[in-house]
Amino acid sequence: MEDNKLKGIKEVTDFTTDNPIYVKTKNQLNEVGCGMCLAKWTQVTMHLHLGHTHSCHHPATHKIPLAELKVNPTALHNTQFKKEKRKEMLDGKRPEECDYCWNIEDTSDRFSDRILKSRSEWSYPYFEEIVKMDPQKNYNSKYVEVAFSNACNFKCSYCGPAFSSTWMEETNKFGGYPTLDNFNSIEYITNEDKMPIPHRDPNPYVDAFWKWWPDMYRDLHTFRITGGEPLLSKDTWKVLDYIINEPDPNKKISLSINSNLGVPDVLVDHLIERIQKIEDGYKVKEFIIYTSVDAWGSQAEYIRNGLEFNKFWDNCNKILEKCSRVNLTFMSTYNALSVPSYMKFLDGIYQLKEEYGSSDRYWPSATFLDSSYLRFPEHQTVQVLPQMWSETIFKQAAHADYLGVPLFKSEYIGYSDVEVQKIKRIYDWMVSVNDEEKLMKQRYNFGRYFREHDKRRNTNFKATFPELADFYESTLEIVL
Amino acid sequence: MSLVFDGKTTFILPLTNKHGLSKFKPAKLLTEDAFSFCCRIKVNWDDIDSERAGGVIAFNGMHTGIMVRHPSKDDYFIQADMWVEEDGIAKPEQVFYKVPLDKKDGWIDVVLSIDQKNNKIALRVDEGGNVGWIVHEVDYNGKLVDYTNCLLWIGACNALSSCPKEHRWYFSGKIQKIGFFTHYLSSRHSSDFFKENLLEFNKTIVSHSDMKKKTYFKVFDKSGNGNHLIKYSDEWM
Repeated sequence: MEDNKLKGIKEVTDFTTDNPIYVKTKNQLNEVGCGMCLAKWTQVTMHLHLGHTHSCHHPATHKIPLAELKVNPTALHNTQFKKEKRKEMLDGKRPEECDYCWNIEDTSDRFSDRILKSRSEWSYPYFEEIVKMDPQKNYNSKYVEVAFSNACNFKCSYCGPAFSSTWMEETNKFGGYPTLDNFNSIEYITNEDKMPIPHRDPNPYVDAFWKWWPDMYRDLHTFRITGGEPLLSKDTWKVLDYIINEPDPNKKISLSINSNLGVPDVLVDHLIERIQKIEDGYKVKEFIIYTSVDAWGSQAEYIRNGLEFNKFWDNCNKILEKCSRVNLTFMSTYNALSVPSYMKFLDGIYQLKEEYGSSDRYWPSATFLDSSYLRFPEHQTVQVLPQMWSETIFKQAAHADYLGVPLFKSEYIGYSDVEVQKIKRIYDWMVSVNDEEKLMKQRYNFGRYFREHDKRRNTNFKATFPELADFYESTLEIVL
Repeated sequence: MSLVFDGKTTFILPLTNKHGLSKFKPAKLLTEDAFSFCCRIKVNWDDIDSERAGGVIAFNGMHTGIMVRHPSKDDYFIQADMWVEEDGIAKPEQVFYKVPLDKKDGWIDVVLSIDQKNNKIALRVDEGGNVGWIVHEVDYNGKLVDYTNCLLWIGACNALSSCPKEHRWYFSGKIQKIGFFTHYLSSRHSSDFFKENLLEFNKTIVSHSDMKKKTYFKVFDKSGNGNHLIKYSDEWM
């Protein structure tokens, strides 16, 4: 509890509640309607292997009707469903699917993503245009994320068949896991209408993408390819070659690719070659490679099945060494198994920052760390762990703070405020757990999941995570 | 390992951590019953302006903290200043220790303790001879002035760009150890700190700098409280 005596001490301004720019944006949006959010027009994530779309990433995805797609390839984004939600926003309603933001706005004075995304440079300049347009009209989004296929050589413990073909093979062979929710069973995928189209099969959603692409490309602010593993998709290479060979490129694009950087060497070399051509030809505003790792060494390998950590780290170094401008962002899905080795990971990222930071890069800090806490599957979140582990997370945040810069300036080498704060948030989230009954079920699932994991994948939880061995044993003893 | 101060370099100990990562906020120095600043210093006396003091550790504003002073040839002082407010009037309470000529160029251990409950100030100095701790303890009337919106400086009394140069009172020399406590240290406690015997201080240690562990911007706080010293730049305010 805050010491009353300390209340008079000057605190740093809290920009999550009183930033005047966001206050102004919020007022402008609310003048249109209390549920108005530009991201419903300007941002889209398209899961083409599933035929699903959503704007932004908070609402659940919805199926793209093939009938709409036949006459309108932009229905990858402009579905009739989404147009109805846009109309609701313009009519002063709050679309139910956007409840993530309504929860924040109704329970705190913080700015929700509705405000932050609407204020972003890929949204705010189009404010007038959007509020005046007919909601039934098609709109070229400025921030596009696309997954072409679920082809992936990894089967990360928290992922599933919808996003990994290797996971799909395992699920087809063994079925779901023996957790209470039968994690990653075929039935779960079918119920969600998320059965992926095999990547070698014809895909009408990908066909529609290529029909829309030349027009979409001109309006793009940000284009990000996700997956699956994008480097295993021919469409990724087609996009890169399109940009390289385009005589009049859209130079304002912020281009990025998510990759596990655990693909065969030849593909990493191909990527480096493409990056160099894009860098040298000044074809984009910036190029960022997003990669994922959630721990260090063998513990990271366990979490992300298929990962060879040393090889991965070599690839990170190789890209930063051979590509003088590109930036590498580590997306870390911080989960229960991340806790024991994350400190070492923080030191590793810091070393990369020190070694490769350069003003020649799109962003002088060569690498960024984006630590987000895992929410699903619930049995693998940090909340399942005994509370004593929260202390370790706090120390990790404090360590990042020590390795941080006092003020974010891109030329300073060290962790930025955002990078530090995101680790601190994991601690805050972990200590907020309060539903004991639910927790017991999650712990029960934790034990059942990893016991089965070891059996199917020939892994050894206790040997890999000696720090968590007692906890693991205790979860196997839970009787519900 | 030590921090070198040359009239330009300074550090600050922020009273709060912007990420909420301080386990024991330095702001408590001001709100608990007592506090102490400890440091081991070697002074470059030639660079200490005869008209002004050199700030070793001090709050800005009306400077409360440890300073050094060299007003004339053969006069070398360690000085503890504390500004108090009584009946609406602020005034300084000062304690001096004259450093013997043969000890002035060596390492000197200094502790300033202020007991806000019993109105006592103590300046303890051990200049490395056989004498041990020499203590000047005085009573004061009034109340410590409000420093809640101030900065705690190491190596100056106020290095803000808004402060005229002649009022910054830079320290020149080296600092090898720095510690902050919400505790009125006795001579024995002071010895314990410099011997790194900190068992008794678990509940009162605020920050204890590790001179061997630094980044370009920070000096690590080995107390575990996350209160690292931050190298000062105008931009960071």
